[in-house]
Amino acid sequence: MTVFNAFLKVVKKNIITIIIYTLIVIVFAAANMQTDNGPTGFISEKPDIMIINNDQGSALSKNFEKYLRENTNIVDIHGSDEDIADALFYRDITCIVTIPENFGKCVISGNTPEVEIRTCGNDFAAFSEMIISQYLRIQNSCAKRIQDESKLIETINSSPNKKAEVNITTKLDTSVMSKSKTYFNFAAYSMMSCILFIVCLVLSSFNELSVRKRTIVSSMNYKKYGFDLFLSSFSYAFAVWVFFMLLSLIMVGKSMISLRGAAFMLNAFVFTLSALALAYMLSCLLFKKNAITGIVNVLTLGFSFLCGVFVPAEFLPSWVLSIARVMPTYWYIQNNELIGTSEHLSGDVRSLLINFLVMGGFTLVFAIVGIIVSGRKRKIA
Amino acid sequence: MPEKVIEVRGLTKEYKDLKAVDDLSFDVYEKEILGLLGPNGSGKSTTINSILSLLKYSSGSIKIFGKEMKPDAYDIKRDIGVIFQEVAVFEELTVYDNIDYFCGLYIRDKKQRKEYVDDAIELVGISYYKKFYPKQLSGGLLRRLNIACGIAHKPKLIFLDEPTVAVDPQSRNHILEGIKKLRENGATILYTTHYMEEVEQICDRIIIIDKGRIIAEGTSDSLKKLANIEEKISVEIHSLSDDGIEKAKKLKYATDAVYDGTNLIVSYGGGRDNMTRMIDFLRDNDYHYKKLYSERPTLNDVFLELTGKELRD
Ligand SMILES: Nc1ncnc2c1ncn2[C@@H]1O[C@H](COP(=O)(O)OP(=O)(O)O)[C@@H](O)[C@H]1O
Ligand SMILES: [Mg+2]
Repeated sequence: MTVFNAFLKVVKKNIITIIIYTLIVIVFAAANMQTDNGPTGFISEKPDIMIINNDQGSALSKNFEKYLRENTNIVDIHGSDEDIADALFYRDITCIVTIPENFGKCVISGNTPEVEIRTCGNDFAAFSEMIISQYLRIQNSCAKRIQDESKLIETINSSPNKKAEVNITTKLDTSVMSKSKTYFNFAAYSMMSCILFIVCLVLSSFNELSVRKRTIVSSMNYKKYGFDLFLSSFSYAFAVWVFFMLLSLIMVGKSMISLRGAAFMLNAFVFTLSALALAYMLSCLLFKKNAITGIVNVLTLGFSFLCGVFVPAEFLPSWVLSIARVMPTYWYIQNNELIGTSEHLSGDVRSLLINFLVMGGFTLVFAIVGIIVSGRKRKIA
Repeated sequence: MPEKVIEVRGLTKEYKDLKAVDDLSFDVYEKEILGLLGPNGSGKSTTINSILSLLKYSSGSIKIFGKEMKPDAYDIKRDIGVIFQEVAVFEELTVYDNIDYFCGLYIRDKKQRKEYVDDAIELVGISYYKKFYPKQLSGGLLRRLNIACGIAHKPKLIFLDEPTVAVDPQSRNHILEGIKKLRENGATILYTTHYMEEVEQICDRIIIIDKGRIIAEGTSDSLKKLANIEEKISVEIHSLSDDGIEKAKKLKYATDAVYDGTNLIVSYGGGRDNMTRMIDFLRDNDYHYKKLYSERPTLNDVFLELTGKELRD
């Protein structure tokens, strides 16, 4: 308890540093979450598409049009083919659906009509395609059993799959996901700084040669002392993690209470452990307090820039990313990207685990180097 | 016969080709203040660090409280307090919290610890600065805090390694008085310094070391006999010829005379009325002098006699 109490008091003395880094994550993450809302916001809205129906006479093609009207925004572009192509190019519409002349007949006869879909190639276009193919799939499977046109239409319209699956797709709220991703990416910088700075400074106070000499000559068992110091540092790092997780609930919202949210948090926890081990190693290597401030600044900022905290990893040149691989932050960010963008987490468990293992490896290496160096130093005293 | 608290036998510590401590043997008895006096680099800190098992020494044996001292002899360590040469405190903790932390390494009980910490603060006289941080303290006060941190757990045996280096006279007196009080309260003290005035002021027994070896041991008075000087007379004279110095050397009972440009110092092996004869000598030769005083020999003279060099350079 003596060691823990003193540890806390020293931490308290550095509270300003902690507050500053917390503010940094709040300000930066909040600012970036705002801008992220723009483009991702309307994916939950209906995509704009254009229909060219060359089979005006058939009830089946009318029904298809009706379905599209319900699930998308139909935009009419009057003009030449070139105007239409321009609209596609400038993203005024996400895709153009051309229903062929023989659409109705083809379906009734049990064949698959060739519906031409031209898209602009972005995410929303993919969404439109999904909505379209959804309908066509159901129509196809129903047409295999039913030859009567009006009966077929009735069956298609009452198909439970038709609505449900489309709804699930629209529920994949990418705006919330990218919000949490943004938060957790920025949190990497702040959590790393909070842990590196404070743990390094506090441990360096305890490891200062004269203080350590005084501890060694005391009746405190030196192994227990080391263990107490470890527990104290761990408790502090754990508290930092808990704090930033609570902050994520406030900043991102309720959606954090989900499997995806838990995955983000677990990732942050594994990252916290590697930051703690790094702090321990640095405190064993560095002697002067002003050296710590400088080196920790360089490390946290460097890690953050190189590993894609401030600038998304996809915009970084590949040579930067290959350097970044030697830092735990890189693997943490990679996991954040995975968790934030994968449709089904269960499919990415393997990649997630690999990243976890790499972070765990870093933790181990940092800790071992620290132990070796501190053992050496004890002999010098 | 008082009990032996520390027993050092044949202690030797070598650094490559340098023998920092060379075959040292001595005892420290219960409730005494033993002074370890020696110039910088004579091996005082090395001796203390070896006794405390902080350093792995090359050969020799060390017993404390009758038991062999080892790095994991926690039962022995419980009754030891150490004040190192360099100040060892947390910048981030207040004066009170610093003492409380170091005391807490020995004393678990919170209530008892509070009492002990208050006693320590009282003893070194820093009550007013309880809530201060080390950065706000002067060098002297910092030293006093450093001492309080080392003795708060009321150890039976206290090591002090040059606790007064670079300390103002007021704080120095405070520290020396505090050390005397600790002994009055029943502690045994091993005190190292290169200031001879201090060992004379507080130590019961003195060991003089040079180049890692004991060169003399005893009480202040018995040591001074080794200097072969009974009295020293200093005269402040401006310009004295070599002839004058030679004449001074021939004064009755005089053993030596030196002149450094302003002061003539004549040493005497014994005799009486040396001062009267000195005044006669000055008047007869028509020397104009300012200050004239008689001194007892100092430990510096002892050191000079034994090693041929001054204690302080
Ligand atoms: N770690 C070390 N390596 C080599 N020589 C050392 C070391 N520590 C002390 N010494 C040498 O040992 C001698 C005694 O040093 P020390 O015990 O510190 O003297 P004191 O405390 O009396 O001033 C000195 O000559 C010093 O240079
Ligand atoms: Mg020394």
